[in-house]
Amino acid sequence: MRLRRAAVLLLVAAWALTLAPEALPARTRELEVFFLQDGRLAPVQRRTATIAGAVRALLSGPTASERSRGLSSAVPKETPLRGLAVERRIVTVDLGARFAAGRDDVSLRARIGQLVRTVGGIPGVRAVKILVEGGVPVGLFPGYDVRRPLTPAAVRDERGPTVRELQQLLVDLGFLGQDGATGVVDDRTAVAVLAFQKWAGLPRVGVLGPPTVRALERAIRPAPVRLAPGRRLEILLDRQLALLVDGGKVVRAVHISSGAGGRTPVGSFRVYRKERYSWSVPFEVWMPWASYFSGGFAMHEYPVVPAYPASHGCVRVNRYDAQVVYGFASYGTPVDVLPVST
Amino acid sequence: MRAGALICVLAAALAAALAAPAAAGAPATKTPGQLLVGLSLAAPPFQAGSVRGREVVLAKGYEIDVARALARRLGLRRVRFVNEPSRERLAAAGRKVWDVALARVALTKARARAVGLSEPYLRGDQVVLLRRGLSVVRRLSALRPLELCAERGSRAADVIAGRIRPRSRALYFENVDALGRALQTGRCDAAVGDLASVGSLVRQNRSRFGPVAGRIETAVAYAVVLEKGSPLLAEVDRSLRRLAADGTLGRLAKAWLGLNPSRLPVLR
Repeated sequence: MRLRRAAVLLLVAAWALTLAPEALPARTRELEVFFLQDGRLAPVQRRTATIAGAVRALLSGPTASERSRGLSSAVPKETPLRGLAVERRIVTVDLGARFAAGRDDVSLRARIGQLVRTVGGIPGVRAVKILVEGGVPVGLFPGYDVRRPLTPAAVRDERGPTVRELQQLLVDLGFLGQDGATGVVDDRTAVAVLAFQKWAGLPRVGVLGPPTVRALERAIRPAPVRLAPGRRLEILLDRQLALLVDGGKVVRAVHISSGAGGRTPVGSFRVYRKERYSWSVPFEVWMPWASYFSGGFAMHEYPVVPAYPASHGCVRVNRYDAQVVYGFASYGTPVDVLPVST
Repeated sequence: MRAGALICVLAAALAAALAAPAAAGAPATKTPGQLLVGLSLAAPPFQAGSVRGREVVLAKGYEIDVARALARRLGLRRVRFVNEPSRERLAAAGRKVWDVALARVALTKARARAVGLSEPYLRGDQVVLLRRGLSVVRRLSALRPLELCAERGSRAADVIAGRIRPRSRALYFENVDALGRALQTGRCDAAVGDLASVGSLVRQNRSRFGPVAGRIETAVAYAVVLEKGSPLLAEVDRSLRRLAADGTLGRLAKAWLGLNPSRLPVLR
């Protein structure tokens, strides 16, 4: 019984020690302090064993060598630490008015991210309550409700747009269907990214790398090459894209693969035959969702749609958009096959 | 005893004399020489702050700077802010602890019966921002063939339906970020929104959008709230007129809201 009580007391003592602002367990010699690198939160190690030490290190900003490595801080220089308290594993940090100075929302949000990730990441800390000039901030940090304690999980990643946001951009630009913003990078997203890369003149890799993300964030919806009324299709052979145009606006831009060696006929045509399942007699292959526009040449679904011209002359449409193209192209819909799209 | 009383009277007179210069020529406020301003926080960029009890220990935003400029114009040296969590109470009838209040309170006849309302310091006009690639339009009729977009549930919907009357149905988005994305990507040709919404797009991502076409006047206007029958009202009105005339209100709007409404052409 005594032993159990002693063990409980020891545990309570250890817990209290962990949460004292000036003291942490001896095993914690280094703590992570978060600065910014390319706008992202980046941790650096600081030799300190206390919460106060970590906050002071944060307020001091990166060292000269860290600055030379591209690290910066959104926390204004010489922001005073007015007070620090711990209660029920919630750390209250009271900072001077400088912490809320400025009108740049991105910078104001980044300060919260730096502080909450730094303090909230210390072992034993449950959440961080922020005070400015001893008062509760209301509306000072757009995007955060700082009236309540924040956990590191609540910190918005300032690393840029999320996958869902990027997918929504692809939807808004017409490269992805409305239901394509799933939040997960899937094959359908890769196909949409490929279509965008073709339009933007980027390497056709289908991956959301930094150059593609940067281009996406600045992109505008593709414009049709020809100005004509009504519903039309433009097959852009140089970009390997099909544009579904309605009333002079591109409603969808679709990744395709046309005939290798220029086998797809160039010119103005109209859809004259449509088949849900079409059988290619010469090549003995099924061509689902086929819309014929010239002789035996059709736009149709095909399992393999590379980023370059690869077919026998037909326009291969990727499996995610084949039905969309089929539904868009009625009998008589004009199809312009254009060798150059600029 | 008499000498003691005399000293007390003299001391009081001296204290009053020392305090008086701060408020010399200034209108009568609850505390001489000080403008006590009522706010309803959590509405950046109009007003935000740090609150201890009801006292706002740190305040920033468009209306905060308007209040400070107003105090200077009134000849008051000190400005203090108090927070009123309920905006409705701020503009409701009754005695007020503050001298003036700023919290985007719109001028209405019903409100004017309950409280004192100043001349407007900001109009709730709707601003039209075009997408990149479009040339400037200066007439409402030129907006009609365009595809318009706005924030869902905003006043822009009334302006689009009642004033612009576009040929195609306008698109509505959940928030200003989605609205900006739609305009940037060309899903719509022109975004319609209030000054702060359009200003936030322009301020943060100027290069992603085309020109601001102008503003469409509405009947909405925001006024300073005072206690009903406050003798301060005439002074406040006079000061606001001067702040508008010397460009202070426009400069503050540009700094905090992203656009100076007085520089935007009116679309008719």
